Amino acid sequence: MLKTTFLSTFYVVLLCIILTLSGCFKKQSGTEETNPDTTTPAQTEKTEASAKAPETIVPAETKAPAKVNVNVYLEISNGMKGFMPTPAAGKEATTFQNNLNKLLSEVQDGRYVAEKGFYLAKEDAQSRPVLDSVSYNTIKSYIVSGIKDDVRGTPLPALLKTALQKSIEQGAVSVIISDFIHGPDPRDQGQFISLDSDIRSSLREAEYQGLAIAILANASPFYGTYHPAVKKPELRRTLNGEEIPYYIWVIGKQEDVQVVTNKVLRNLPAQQAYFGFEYKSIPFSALLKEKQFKPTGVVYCSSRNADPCTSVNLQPEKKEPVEFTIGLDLSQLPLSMQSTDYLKKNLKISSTGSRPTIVSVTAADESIKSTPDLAKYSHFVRLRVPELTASSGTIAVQLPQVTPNWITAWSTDNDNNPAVAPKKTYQLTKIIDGVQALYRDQSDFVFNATIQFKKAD
Amino acid sequence: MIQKFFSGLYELFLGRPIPANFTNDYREVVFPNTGLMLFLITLGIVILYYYVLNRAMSTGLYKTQHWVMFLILNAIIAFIIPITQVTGNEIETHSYTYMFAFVNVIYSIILFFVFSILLKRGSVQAWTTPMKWPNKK
Repeated sequence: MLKTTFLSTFYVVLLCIILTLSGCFKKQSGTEETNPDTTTPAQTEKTEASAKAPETIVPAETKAPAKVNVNVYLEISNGMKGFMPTPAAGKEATTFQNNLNKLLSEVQDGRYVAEKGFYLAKEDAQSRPVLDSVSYNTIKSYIVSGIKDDVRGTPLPALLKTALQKSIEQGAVSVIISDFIHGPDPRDQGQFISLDSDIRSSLREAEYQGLAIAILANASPFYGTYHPAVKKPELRRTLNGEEIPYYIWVIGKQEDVQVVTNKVLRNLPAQQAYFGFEYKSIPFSALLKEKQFKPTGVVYCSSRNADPCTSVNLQPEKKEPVEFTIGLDLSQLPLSMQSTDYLKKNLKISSTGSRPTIVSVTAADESIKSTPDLAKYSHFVRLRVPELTASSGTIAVQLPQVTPNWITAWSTDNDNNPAVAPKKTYQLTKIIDGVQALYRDQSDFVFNATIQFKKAD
Repeated sequence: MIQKFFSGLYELFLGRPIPANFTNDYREVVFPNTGLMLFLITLGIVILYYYVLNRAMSTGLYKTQHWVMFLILNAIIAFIIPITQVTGNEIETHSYTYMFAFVNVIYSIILFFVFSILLKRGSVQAWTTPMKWPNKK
């Protein structure tokens, strides 16, 4: 009797052991799924599905439109004539002519442009801005053979306003090309005083519509009569190849502007400024298990399989501060902001509950691009956290909106003699101040990657 | 709950997992898996020894030296499991891994002894292996 109960309980126990053990082993084999040799077709389907999953959470704002509508506005006041001297045998084309030719043909024939419009911007007798819609060939002939019209001045704010209005009506990105030397009516010189607020008013539609502005500055040899904004001592000067700045303003929705700057204009000058650019959710992750970015100290992702990992547990010790790397995908940012030099100079780190510092900023190299888990990140920021001041908090890597240095360098209060001070535009800082005022209410940061942390237990 | 129990059990002697970036893998997968497998395999081998070999079959393996053989067999399994768990979960091996395996061996010996004491009374040939205590007859 006793014997049989023992035997039956023994069998039950044995059965339980076999069942649970097989369960245990199954769990283990689950982790080997990544090995391509042992995967069955069903499992490969599974891994494929999980590989596709991250793509679906890519935020909509990062999807650049395939094609954009572009309106090109070329200012053709007398002050612009020197950029487009009449051609003669043995005379080289100016930088302006070369670049504008490329730009126009890219707009006309490029595959990233859907609808296009070309406009000559001038003013009428009452110094009101006028936009003449012209064909590609007409605007091209202006660039290559010079301006024949006689247009006195450029009421800058009014020009911007009309151009912007037209583009908004047509749903196009504005590309405005001008020397941006403000030339108000001689009877109304007070406009110089209010240039910043006038610029701001003229562009207020951009603010209402949530448009971003990219300003690209370049200098070109200038041949002919130069009309400075400051009329003393000379009312006008004749230049023979001195470099005068010209500007390309691109105004439109952030993603459309980027298509124009990255795919239509392409070879951008070094002087770039971006206003109203903001990235609400750039992809980022703390990289804690990658061999290329080994962390030091006690730090681990709060959840074991989180991808991306945006929450970490850490515990810095006096002897061993925590160091780890954050991968960021900044490929959607304007190109000038993607340079590591720019990021090293401008990236900020802020934190509640700890005192982190940036150790290094690197861009993805070839070996990283070929690592599947890392290929989605373009930049890597290594952080050091020497101590915590609270048991939980946040660490944020941020790129502040900064005004590039070249703007002050290219600005002057007296543009009368460009031979002495080349590459300067009268009151450029004031013009830019007006643009910046549009985005005062916007976030102070181009992007913000925030990682939560907890003290490790 | 089970995770906390086994993590506590191993970290009692081993301290925090090293390298620290795999802490979660140790705590959520490796420690509980190893602990559960240690428990079940030890129980299985003890049952095999007392109830299969020395009750259902009469193999004559009732001497203490046979018991020690099974204890060593169990200890070897207890050494291998942590290492396969660590490598199977793609965790970097470290001297910590081998310390962990060693601690697991110690636990396996203790557990094997405890299970033997508890279960040997149901055996026919081996109820006095490795010793008579606490059974009386």
